[in-house]
Amino acid sequence: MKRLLLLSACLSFCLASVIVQAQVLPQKPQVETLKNGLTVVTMPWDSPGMVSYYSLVRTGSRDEVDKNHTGFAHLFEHMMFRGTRRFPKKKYEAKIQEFGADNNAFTWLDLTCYTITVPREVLPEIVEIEADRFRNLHYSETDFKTETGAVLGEYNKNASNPALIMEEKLLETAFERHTYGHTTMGYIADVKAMPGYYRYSKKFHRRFYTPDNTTLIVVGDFDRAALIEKIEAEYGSWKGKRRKTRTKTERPQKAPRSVHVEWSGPTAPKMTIAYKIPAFEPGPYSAALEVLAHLAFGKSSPLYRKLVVEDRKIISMEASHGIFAPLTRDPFLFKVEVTLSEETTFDEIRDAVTAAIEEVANGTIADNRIDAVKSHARYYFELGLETPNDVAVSLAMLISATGDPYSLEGFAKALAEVTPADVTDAAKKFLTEKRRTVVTLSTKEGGSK
Amino acid sequence: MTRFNIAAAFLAFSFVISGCCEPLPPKKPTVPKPPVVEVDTEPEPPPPVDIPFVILPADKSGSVSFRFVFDTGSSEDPATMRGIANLTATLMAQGGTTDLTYPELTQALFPMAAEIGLHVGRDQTVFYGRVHADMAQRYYSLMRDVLVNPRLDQKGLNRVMDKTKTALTLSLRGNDDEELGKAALALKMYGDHPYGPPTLGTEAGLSAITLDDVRVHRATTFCASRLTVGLCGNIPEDLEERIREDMKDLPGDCEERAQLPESPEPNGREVLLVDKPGAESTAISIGFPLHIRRGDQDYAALKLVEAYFGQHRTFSGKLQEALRVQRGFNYGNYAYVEHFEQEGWSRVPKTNLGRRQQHFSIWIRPVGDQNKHFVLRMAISELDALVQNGITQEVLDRTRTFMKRYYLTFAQTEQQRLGFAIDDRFYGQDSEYFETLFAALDKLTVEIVNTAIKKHLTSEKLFIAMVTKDAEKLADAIAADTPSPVTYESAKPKEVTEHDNEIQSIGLSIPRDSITIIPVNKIFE
Repeated sequence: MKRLLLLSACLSFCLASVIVQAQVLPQKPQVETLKNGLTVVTMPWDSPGMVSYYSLVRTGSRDEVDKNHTGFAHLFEHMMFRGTRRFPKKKYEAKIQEFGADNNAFTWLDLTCYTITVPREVLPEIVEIEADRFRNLHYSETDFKTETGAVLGEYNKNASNPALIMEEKLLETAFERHTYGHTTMGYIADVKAMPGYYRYSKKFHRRFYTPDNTTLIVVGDFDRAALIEKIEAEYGSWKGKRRKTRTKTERPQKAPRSVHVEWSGPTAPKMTIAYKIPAFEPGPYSAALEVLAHLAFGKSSPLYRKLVVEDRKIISMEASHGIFAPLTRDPFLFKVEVTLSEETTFDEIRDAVTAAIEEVANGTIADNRIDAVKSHARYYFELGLETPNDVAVSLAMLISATGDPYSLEGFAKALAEVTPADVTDAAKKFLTEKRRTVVTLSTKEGGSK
Repeated sequence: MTRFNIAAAFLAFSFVISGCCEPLPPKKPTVPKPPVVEVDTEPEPPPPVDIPFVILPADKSGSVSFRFVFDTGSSEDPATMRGIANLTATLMAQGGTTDLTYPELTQALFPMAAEIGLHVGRDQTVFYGRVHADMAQRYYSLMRDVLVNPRLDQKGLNRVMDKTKTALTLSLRGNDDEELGKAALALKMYGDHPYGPPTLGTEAGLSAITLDDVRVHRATTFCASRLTVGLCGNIPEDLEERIREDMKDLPGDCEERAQLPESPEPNGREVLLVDKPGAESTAISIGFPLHIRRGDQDYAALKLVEAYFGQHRTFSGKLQEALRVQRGFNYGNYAYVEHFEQEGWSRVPKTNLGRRQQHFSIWIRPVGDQNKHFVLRMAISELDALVQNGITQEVLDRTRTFMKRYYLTFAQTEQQRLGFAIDDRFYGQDSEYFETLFAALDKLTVEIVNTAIKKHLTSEKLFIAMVTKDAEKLADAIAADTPSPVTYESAKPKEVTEHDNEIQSIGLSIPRDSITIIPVNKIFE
């Protein structure tokens, strides 16, 4: 999770991207699967001289089933930058620097993704160096412990923002059994204990960094035949099978839940109102929820107009574009995040949000408002697909949720066909009181204001 | 298939949505125009201003990008009204137009997936957006009214004021120590200089601003003579002409903006500690004025030093190597030879943050409380080593190769290309930024770079800002040069521990009266 904020960008992008991707990309993604199970997805893009090379591992904090090991997928993302015998850390960095590579990675619930964008002339060498680190990662216990310090530093930098603690509380309150109950960053106690888990980290690598759990996504200006040949040469003899993650199924929530957090420093009051929704699938309910988020809570919604513009009860409200996460493998949350004015009470905002959902559930949506959302999504997607990076991120997020690089068309169709009745049904079925978890946060009494 | 054709194909596909864009709401003449603002201008209308355009056509593109850049920003805030430039621009972008209320404006933009983007800096303010090529004229009509006919009413000001005060007094103080650290450095470095207080303003400044003040400020700073228009992408043929005609309705010819006072020079090493009880980690920023800008002879040399010493968000920088890779103190450590304003995750520098005066800065991302004194020592020590030792031929060659490839990733989008081109104009550059920089890099020698380092960089005269708990204790420790030994989770190589042993006792020569402490709830009052 080197780019925590990127997460929002990725999600927002993908939410929109899935809408029309099959029709808008110049061609369907080309897919090649090697004998060892490694999938290669390629897409030519008009980006003269530049190419993005992404390595998607379908493992994230969802796979952290072992007790006291929250945050481990993210820590492992860091370890992947610690080098191999052939390219030790210093040599690896020197190579990356020589290539002028934009080299980074991010981790989230269901995935860890390694993102490289480079001039096309160095692509063959990038394939070599990436294949080497995925197959032959090698780091000492000292390196491991040093890197855990950087992870703690990342936790610390995020912890001065209330968003992290609110997310921690939301997830642990909403989920009692499933690993979505902890953040990708992990709990601070687990992060502090990481230096002692060197051996476990080796095991983690063997469990999840396998060819059948990895997808290479290459987008941009490149010679596909030469690329595939090079990939086969470099990755072909990579062996291993992903270990299945035994996540526990969440029991149906029977009553609303809530939790309050006190913040020691200055802050505007904040709240997140979340509802359990099913796992993403390229079908009507995901499309309906996407539409609903805009209709009920977007900047053009009546609620936003009333609470933000007319009454100035709240400072901001967001419920789409990456704030909720329908692109998950397992059931997750639809979230409405609000920053309140100081004199506004949490109860009145919770009630206003509930009323807005009821209004949708009562079936009073005008067709032209749904059309406006569809139009918004279509243009948002087109504008979002500007660079090879944009396309690669979009594909990565979708593949992480579905495992299928072609699943876009079904969702595009579903969104195109969303009707007011679909949206009404989704509101009635999923955004109900008993599926709700509310997190509130305000300055601790007596704390500095 | 080009992207434009792809888009066209998509539009023709059966997924067509009837009435994809609602008609704009009818004009509402009942909305009163803002009262005529009496400003100190000539009674006769000034002659039309010849507005410069930066146009980068890209016929294959499916979109059009707009940047309307005014050469004004918070450096023109009167001392009693800090924050007025930001407030004015925000009210223009988020307050509606004379024809459309803010919600109506939002609804008109929504089906296009378009926004009126805004960034307010010290000397430049940018209104920007990117839309599908089919929507270019329609979007521009809305942007035009934001610029030329902003509503600027009391209701909008109240809302924008709430948001701004919350951002300043609650979010900046309490929700993001890294941004707070950088804002504290600006305050320490520049003090009462116009670059000192946050662009958001100060509590007193915001409280003093009235609607009339905002209208006057808009009329005297957001005018045609300060504007550069940037267009990129699949630009409709008549768009430039249309914009030229429309922009005649902007306030005419602003007065020349006042000269900036000299940037204050540090008296040795000066420290500002923002005392924040409960802070589990410490954000550190270090800087000093730098009298070099784009176009100056030593710019390329210093840019190379930046890439070597602390390239933003990479592992190859010297600071990052010492503090994170070898020692695992924190998440990131970077250095900049011109003002850099960025969220923590993006690697690409923002554009149109042009400044008439520049500074050097180091950004140390939060470190554990137990290591803060040591890390401060180490950052200064690394800077000192750079100033004393300079770079080698190997570093020059390696860094130059890196920059000439890596920097190409900075201009992949229309907005980025346009932004850099407009920056060229701001800095009086005739040729394209990367071309100029790369050509200058080719001419660098080790001697040139090291001479530039000695001439422009220092480790002796620094402004330092830290956001930390137990500030008094830290101030005493810094002033007394109390040793700051460091322990690690694992054994370190001998060269690291030996170096640490030297660092932990380095005298920083910072007397107690060079250290100021301010409680977090008092800063930016």
